[in-house]
Amino acid sequence: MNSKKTFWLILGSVVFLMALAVATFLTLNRYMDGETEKDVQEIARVHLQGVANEEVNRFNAVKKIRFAQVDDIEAEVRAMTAPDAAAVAETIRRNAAYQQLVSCVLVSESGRFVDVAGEPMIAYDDAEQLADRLRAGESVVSGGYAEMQQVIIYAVPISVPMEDGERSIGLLCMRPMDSFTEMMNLAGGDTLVSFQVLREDGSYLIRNSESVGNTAYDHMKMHMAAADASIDVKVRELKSVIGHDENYMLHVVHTDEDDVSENRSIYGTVLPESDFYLLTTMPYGVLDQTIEDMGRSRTNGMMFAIAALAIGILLVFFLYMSLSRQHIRAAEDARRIAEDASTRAEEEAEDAMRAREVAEDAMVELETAKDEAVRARDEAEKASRAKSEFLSNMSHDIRTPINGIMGMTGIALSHLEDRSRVRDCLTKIDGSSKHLLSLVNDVLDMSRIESGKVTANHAPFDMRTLIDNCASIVQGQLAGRDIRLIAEHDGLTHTHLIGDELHLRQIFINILGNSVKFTHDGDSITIRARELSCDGHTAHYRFELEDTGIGISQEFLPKLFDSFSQEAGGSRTTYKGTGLGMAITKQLIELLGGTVTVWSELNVGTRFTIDMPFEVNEAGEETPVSETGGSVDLHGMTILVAEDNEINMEIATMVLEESGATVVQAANGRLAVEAFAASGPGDIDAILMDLMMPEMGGIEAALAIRAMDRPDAADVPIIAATANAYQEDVDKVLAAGMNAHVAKPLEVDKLLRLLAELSG
Amino acid sequence: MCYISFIYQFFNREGALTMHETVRRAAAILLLAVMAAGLCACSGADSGGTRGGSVSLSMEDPVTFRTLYSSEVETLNYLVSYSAVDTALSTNLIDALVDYDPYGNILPGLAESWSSNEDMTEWTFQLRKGVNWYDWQGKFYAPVTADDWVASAQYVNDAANDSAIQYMYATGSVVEKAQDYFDYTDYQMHPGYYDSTPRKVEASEIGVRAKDDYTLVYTLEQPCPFFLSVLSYTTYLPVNRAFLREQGDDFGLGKENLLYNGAYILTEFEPMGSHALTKNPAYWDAGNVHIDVISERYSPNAGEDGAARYLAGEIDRAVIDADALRAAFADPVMADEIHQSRPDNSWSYFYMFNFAPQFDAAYEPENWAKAVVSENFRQSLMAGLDRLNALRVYEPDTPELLLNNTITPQNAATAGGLDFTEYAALADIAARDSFDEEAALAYRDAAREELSAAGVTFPIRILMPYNPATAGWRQECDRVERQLEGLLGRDYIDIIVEAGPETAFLAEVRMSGKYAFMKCRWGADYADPLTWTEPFGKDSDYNFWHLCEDPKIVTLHEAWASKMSRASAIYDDEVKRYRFFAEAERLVIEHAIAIPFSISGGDGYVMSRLNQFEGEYAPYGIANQRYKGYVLHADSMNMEEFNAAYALWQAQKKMAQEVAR
Repeated sequence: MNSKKTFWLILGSVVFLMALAVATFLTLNRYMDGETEKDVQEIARVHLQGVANEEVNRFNAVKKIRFAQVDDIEAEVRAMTAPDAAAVAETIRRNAAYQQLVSCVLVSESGRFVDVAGEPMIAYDDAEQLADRLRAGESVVSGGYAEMQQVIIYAVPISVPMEDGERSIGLLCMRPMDSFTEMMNLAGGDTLVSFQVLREDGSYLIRNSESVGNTAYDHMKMHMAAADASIDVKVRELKSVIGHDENYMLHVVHTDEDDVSENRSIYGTVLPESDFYLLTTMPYGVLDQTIEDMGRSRTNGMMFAIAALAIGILLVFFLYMSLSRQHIRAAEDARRIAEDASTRAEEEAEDAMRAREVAEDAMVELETAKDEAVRARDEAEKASRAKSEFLSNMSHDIRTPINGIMGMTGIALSHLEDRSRVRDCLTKIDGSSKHLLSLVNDVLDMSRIESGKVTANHAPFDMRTLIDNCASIVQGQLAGRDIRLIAEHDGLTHTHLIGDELHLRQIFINILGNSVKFTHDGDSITIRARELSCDGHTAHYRFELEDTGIGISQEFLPKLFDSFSQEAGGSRTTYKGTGLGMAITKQLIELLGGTVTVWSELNVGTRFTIDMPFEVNEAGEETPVSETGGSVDLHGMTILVAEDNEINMEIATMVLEESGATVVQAANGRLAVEAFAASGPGDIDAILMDLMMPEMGGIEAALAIRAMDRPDAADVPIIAATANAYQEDVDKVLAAGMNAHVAKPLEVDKLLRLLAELSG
Repeated sequence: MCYISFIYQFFNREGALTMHETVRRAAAILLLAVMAAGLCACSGADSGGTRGGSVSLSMEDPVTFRTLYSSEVETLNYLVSYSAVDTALSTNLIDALVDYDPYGNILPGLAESWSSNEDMTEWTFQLRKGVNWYDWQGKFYAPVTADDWVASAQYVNDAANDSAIQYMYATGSVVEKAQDYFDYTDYQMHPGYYDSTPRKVEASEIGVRAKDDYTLVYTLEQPCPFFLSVLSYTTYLPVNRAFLREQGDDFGLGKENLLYNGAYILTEFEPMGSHALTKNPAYWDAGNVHIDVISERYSPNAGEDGAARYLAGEIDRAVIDADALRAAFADPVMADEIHQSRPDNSWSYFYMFNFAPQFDAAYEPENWAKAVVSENFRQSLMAGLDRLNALRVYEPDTPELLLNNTITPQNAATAGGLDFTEYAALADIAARDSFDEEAALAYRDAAREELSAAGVTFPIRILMPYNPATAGWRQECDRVERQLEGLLGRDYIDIIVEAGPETAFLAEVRMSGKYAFMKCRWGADYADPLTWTEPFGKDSDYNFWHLCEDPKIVTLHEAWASKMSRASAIYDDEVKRYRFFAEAERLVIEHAIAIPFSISGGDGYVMSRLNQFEGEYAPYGIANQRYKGYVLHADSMNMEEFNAAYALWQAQKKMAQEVAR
């Protein structure tokens, strides 16, 4: 026990000695660092002062020569006998040319600045102050702008006659500011220091590459506040010395735009007999390196001393250790017993560890669940934000064309006599209406797709025809633009297919429509169809729709198919659609059992690849195309129109009457039934029936008409015209015994053709 | 005290009027009786109409001002809109920290007093106690406290709220961290727009803080001596945080989605139908609100049938179409009711030269670019432009009322006892008419010689677009074309007047550089000359002179920028600040970078039972749109009465400003 105590005592002493040595060396090191820094700052101050004084001397020398040159002019004037204003001006002009001055100006007693020679002056740094100093008999150096360049002004008080009868108080001779900068060597060259020349309000006369803001104070606040809490005090101090005949030294920490900081010394001094204050700045980059190098060698020396000391002490320690080895052996037994106990303790500790691991696993699971909850919340918030944004965009987008429609209607109404104006308004109203309709259609489509109300059609169609049709629609949109449209469908073996032609067309038009919007003249758009495989019943198609347009950013690409997302949704100055087009497209592709991928690169182009299976139409039938052009003549026909909205009624009546038909109007379903009942058999050739009307709806009215006991009740064509444009509405209409359905707003040609067809 | 000064002003003003003196004297006596009765009845209570925390908005036989409007408000959310149509409502519904007298002096509003630190970077406002928020039915919602301004600043500077007037926190008066917060919130919405991640800034870091419920502190990034003048702008109006949160996106959708603390409560709001503003009986300054109900009816033809409806007694104010003016003055009954609007010097119009033309090759942009850098050429147009002739489109008989010889209009900014335009650098320019035929011809001859040598072809084609939606602009362009070509010769210039688009005119034409020579305008945001320099600043989309590489223009721009930066940096010497701003403006006019043209004629000629000189006035912002202070008179002033009242107002204004100094 006794020897153990001694062992600890000695070990403690060794540790203490080592710690003491390290602490002493560190303190010494820090003290010496501080001293070195003080010395270096002192060196910097002396150096800066030296450099600045050199500049001041150079300035004085330049100034002396320049003032002397102005004095020469004065001497020449004085030598003239009875000088008049014209002769004085001529002398000044001659000297100005000889001395290569930018301009010369005389200042009158009343403070007017009159151009005498050279370029006209356009601005003085402070004309008022300049005149005051000349009036006080002082020569002064100042700044200003001549017509073509910034100039330095050497102003000397001179009293000579001026052309308007006044006498002058001073003559200003202007030289290029650039030559002054060069002569003063203010560019700094390869030296460590940099210069800025300030006016007395701190604004820059001559900037250096780092000068920012309007004044040197702005620079200090912007680049020196980050690492220096007392910068405001320093700015105040500098403000108080500039403009007075005082020199000033300050040390700051400068942080540049890349967040790199360095120590700097700044020395300010007045340039005598001028409005200028010279700021000389020396970065510590090189000095910091010196201080660092010195510190490093000192630290190395000290580390060596500490190591030597440690080795000595350890030697002593090991000597003692060998002497006390016997004691240690005796202690072995005791230690073994202790080890047994320790083993048992370790086993118990292991059990505890295992329990902890289980607990930790549980914690991890909990954290994961929490993260998922947070993610889910974020997703929900994001969706809700997007929806709000969408609603706000929509309200804007819907309001904009409505505004257009209302505004144009107003203009048209107030210029009814001006046919071209009215036509122009109507054209614009038409455009706005179509835009509005497409917005509403998009929103409704999306909401229907999302609620699962859209189903895929199965009808025979020809793929080649479909692609050609799409290409010709897009070609129409490209009229007047220099964009090449390529449709490739060579090598298809099965083109008679069964599928949803309507939705497929919508998919192609949506994607190609975007291509049209986002390509420039000279670009190309390609639609390419390939048959990947066919087992006789099912053909697998790949469609590639690509353009060489502006492309989509990589950030936006993953969000392309999200509802309500649009790239660059910041300022909304032009129509950009609803943000639903691509979402609708993707949903439709999936509805038709297909998949879609997108490749895009900014300014290179975009390619959509769609893979989709189709049932092969083994009968090889083609869908009949029943588009017949030309105008439709309804002369001799009587058409019963059931419509509760007055405007719609007026439109329908006008359209039908213009085509030669006679119209019988009924403001609701009941009146329509009565009107039909009151007519003689065969008098009514067709009925155009609105669905939602007061008193009696269109369905009910159609059922009532079909149920009448008269020869024409069963087969008088009834066409439903309604804003409800969905398949289930069409089904309802047909189930009620009506012959066809047209959606509102009415497409006139289609309606007229339909009427003509149905009426035989 | 307040009543006494009002009576004094009222009779003083009446002294100059003759036609309607009797009626007005009677009205004044009646008004005094009402006021006296009010004083007795209220006996010190500040809310005669309050009951159980809420206020009753019904009244018998209210004094009602009826008018028509033809443009509907876009939104009642006053924190996002700068449209004058929108602010016309909000400024009457929500009160600001400061108020104005009829002469442009700032008075305490919802702030009873204020102070700033020495360098004007920290402004502390003591708020009026006992002011409450009410809903549209007059139901009490909450007291108005300092947090309402904090909530407003946080809302406006959150990019997600897309406020069009956020810039009021970042130019002129620069509220600490407001722009940083905006950038950070904008970055969160559009990270793709940013090259580097802006520093994270919390809303609470914006320099608007509630020290307690009634002490509000604004901290600015740079000294701002004119800070008080930005405070009546809509983005500095308060909003109740709890209500704002409760309303979410519905805030400002309808009358139910706003709270009111101002002179009026919006009791009726049917878009494209009607508006009714009913006096708030609990308003802190209810004694100065003399009209009980403002009733506005939508009428798209207000301009055409307003006069007839006014004469029929259906409405109390109508604007007379410029085209109908001559006929109206010829009718003695109408002539006795028509008067001018007070010229509005919060707007300045000036003709700009485009130094970086982007228009079609057909208009010879290269030829123009070579010509426009010649000062002789610009001076020939400046001296040649007969501005009075052009202004006769708007003021056939007294165009000089609108004429403005400087960019900053007279009476827009004052320091050291001098109007900005009276400073030495501008005094001679402000006093002269730049139109000088002889000088114009001399400049033309010099320019022709100089430009021929530079390879410019004559006549120089000058594309001068106009917005067809702006009344009178086309006629003005026609006059300018005829007059300038007539004077300078069609072999020298060929002005091409062309209609631009009605919508997005500025974006399509001015901002896109698709003009050569065109009238532009600027409106003041606050009371400092800095606000008027914006059209010439760096990155300005007015004349693009900063993009011009001609050495003379480069030097001019540098000299201007040097003066500007020095002026902007002076906060402690207002006179020197103004002197440097004046020198900068002189450069622009003296070297014909722009040609000052006119101030705004307000609404032009009107028939109105309101006397414009009784309402609040400020040569910037939206105080002019308030109904507070107006009395409903029996009839409208005629021109003679207006001129007398205008002269009197100008004299009183000068006196009031002297007193304020």
